[in-house]
Amino acid sequence: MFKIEYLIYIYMTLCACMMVFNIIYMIFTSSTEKSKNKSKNAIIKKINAQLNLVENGLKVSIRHKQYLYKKLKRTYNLLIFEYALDLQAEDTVAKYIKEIQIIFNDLAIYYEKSDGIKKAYFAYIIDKYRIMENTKSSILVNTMYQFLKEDSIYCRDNSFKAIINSSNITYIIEALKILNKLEYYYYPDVIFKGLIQFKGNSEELGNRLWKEFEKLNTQIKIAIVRYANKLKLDYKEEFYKTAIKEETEEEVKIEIIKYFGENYYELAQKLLIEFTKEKGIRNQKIIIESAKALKKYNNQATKEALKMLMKRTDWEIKEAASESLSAISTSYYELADIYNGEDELARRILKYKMQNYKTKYKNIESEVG
Amino acid sequence: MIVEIAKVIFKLIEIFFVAYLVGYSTFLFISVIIGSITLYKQKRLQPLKEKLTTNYDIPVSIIVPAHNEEVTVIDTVKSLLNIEYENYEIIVVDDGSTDNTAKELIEYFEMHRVYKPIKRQIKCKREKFVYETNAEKVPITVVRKDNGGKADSLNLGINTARYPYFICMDADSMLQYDSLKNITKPMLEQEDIVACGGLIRISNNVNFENGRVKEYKLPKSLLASMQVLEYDRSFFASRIMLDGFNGNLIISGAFGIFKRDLVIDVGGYDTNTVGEDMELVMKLHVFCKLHNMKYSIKYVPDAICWSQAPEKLKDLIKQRKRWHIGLFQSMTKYKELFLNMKFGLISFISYIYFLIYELLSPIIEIIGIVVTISAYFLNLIDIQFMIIFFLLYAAFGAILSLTIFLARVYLQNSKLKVKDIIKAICLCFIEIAGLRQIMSIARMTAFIGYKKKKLQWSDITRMKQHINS
Repeated sequence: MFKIEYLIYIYMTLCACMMVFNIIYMIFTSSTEKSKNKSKNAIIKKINAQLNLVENGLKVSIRHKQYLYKKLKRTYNLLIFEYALDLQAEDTVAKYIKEIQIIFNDLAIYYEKSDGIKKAYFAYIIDKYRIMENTKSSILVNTMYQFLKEDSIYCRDNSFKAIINSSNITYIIEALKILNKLEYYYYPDVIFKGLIQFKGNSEELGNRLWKEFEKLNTQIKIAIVRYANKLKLDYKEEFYKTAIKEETEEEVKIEIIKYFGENYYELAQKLLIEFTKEKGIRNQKIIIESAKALKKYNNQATKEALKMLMKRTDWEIKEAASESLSAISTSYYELADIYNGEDELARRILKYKMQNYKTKYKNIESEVG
Repeated sequence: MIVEIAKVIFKLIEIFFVAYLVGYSTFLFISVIIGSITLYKQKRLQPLKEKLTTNYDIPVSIIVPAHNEEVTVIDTVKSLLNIEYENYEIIVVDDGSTDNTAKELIEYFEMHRVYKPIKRQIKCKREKFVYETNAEKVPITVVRKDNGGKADSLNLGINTARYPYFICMDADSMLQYDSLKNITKPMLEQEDIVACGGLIRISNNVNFENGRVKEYKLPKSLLASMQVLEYDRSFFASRIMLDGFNGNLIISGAFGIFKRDLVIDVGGYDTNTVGEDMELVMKLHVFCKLHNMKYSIKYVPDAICWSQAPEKLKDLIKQRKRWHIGLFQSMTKYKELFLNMKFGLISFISYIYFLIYELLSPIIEIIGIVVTISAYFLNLIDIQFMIIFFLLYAAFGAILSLTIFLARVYLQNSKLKVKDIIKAICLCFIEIAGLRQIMSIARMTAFIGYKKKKLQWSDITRMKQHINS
């Protein structure tokens, strides 16, 4: 029969276990620290020796490559590898990497079986040292394609960056096609910021991206439009035709509207003004972005359209219209009906945006001198 | 006959208390083990995670409600400017301070007045004035309003915020350089995360430089040192375990990130409670479950916020009374979570844990002590057994606290001096068999004058932080 005293024994055992756990843990962590440091110094010494050879125009030994392959299977040693290379000059590192590039093909096969964060770090190393640049090896590329399908955003993002830094447009397009098939939600900015890292021919990349545009999902389309906007690529006609199509997704239309807000296109103004006349809560974002984009088109038609928007009840629409009105050179007389009108909210928002714009402009002036 | 009945009653009470203590100790034991393993895994991956970045920073509004915080508010905002993050803004809401909280900020950061209309998507008191500056690394806004409490201030902050996520934090707290990056990481990985809570650590006697801990020491005050142990037990143990099944019912008001639209949909913070942090999280759980939304509320142990702990017993008692009233208000408001299949493990584990081991525990523990003493004088219990059991229970609790404290020190690379380790060892016994009982009495008496106090903030002595920047 269960005696209550047994509880005492159970607790005593648990207490003893916890104390032993603490002591073993403390001993374990301090001993592994010491051996880790020893191993770290040994690896750095060997890498530095080879870097010196490379600096003097000599080749890296096969034995060293075999040594590296064995060591770099452990992610901790990959960290040490990065640390050792960071202490050296860039061109020496570039020569060294070219010499040892081949071992990364074998390491890629190994890391394909690791967990997400280790894969992400391997992809990070491939990206940092541009190991895929000028590589004809399909193993590394295919591994990066596999990494794009991982759960971890760090893995997907770093492998995408590694592919971008290969400067190979075919690889980049293939990567986007893979992302297109996945179910993960991708913040468009992740793709966009990856694309702008591309150091090759951006016009050629733009052309290839445009060829695939219609087959890609909304997030990637948004990223492509942002990319074109950032690099001021000329797709005015193409984007205009896309924007007027009924079947174009709303988010893509919004991105194209932003493009026309930065890149003047005469035909776009009429389209933007038409968008501002839309009604209904479903079209609110399009109306807001069109209002903001209209500041690029400083003429009477724009001012009239924006003033009409100030009469709307929606707060955000009023804000967007005021932002553009304050950026366009408008006199007090032109806006008198808003300043003196009965709509107090419109007046307050416009006054705030005007004040903000003037402060910003004054700051820019004083910086520029 | 009466004696026999009394014996039975006391026996039953004895069994109840033993079961209660065993249940609590088992829960703590499991959660400390899980917490230690989680910390160990985190430490192994930490060097990798520090290297890995993504191309995207979630835009965040940091809302700092402040009431009479002129001593610490500038340091708080300066520490926020040291964060390594691109896309954020800082909004300080001055909740009708009677000191110079707003004035200090406006003068120090050379802010200018703006007549910014604020869309009130959540009901709150109107702003009296708004000051802004864009001259610093990120936009800083100071909004002043009439006194309405922390919840009301947060609601005004949410209305003012321009970004889709907001962080609530206390005006006497400080974030580390990597806090924002770490707390937003889960949101980059999972789209359905609606809120994340960070780890609160005690900043008393800690030296900071440019958002980094320069030197970590246990607080000089014994009371604050004991709170370090208590916080470690609470944050590292139970929260990690509850996080395993999306069961956290609280994100500390000192540091948490929320999806703005969802918080607006649920009506923002409740101004009728002093435990607005717990109330909001419980409200989010209920709302998302009832609307069959796929959602997750996470706890991020490496997103750290440093906060001041009270060093005077009087202040600590005030704080714990307020927390207990807040807990009571939240638990009673969401009593539908009690043993309700609709809410799954949140109902059957999280709610029950908070009900028995947090809300009712002061009453249970104090009554247990009183009954034990009474039974001794009536010669009704095996006193030797009870004494040994309680001593062992205290030793067990102390060792658990020490385990997680040392695990945290090692695994978060805090270099602690030997004297601080010895101090921690001694204090963990006093904390579990001394401070805990004082706090139980304090929490039990929280309900005296409850109706009057239910919405009151108390003024706690603030100290300047050790910051170099």
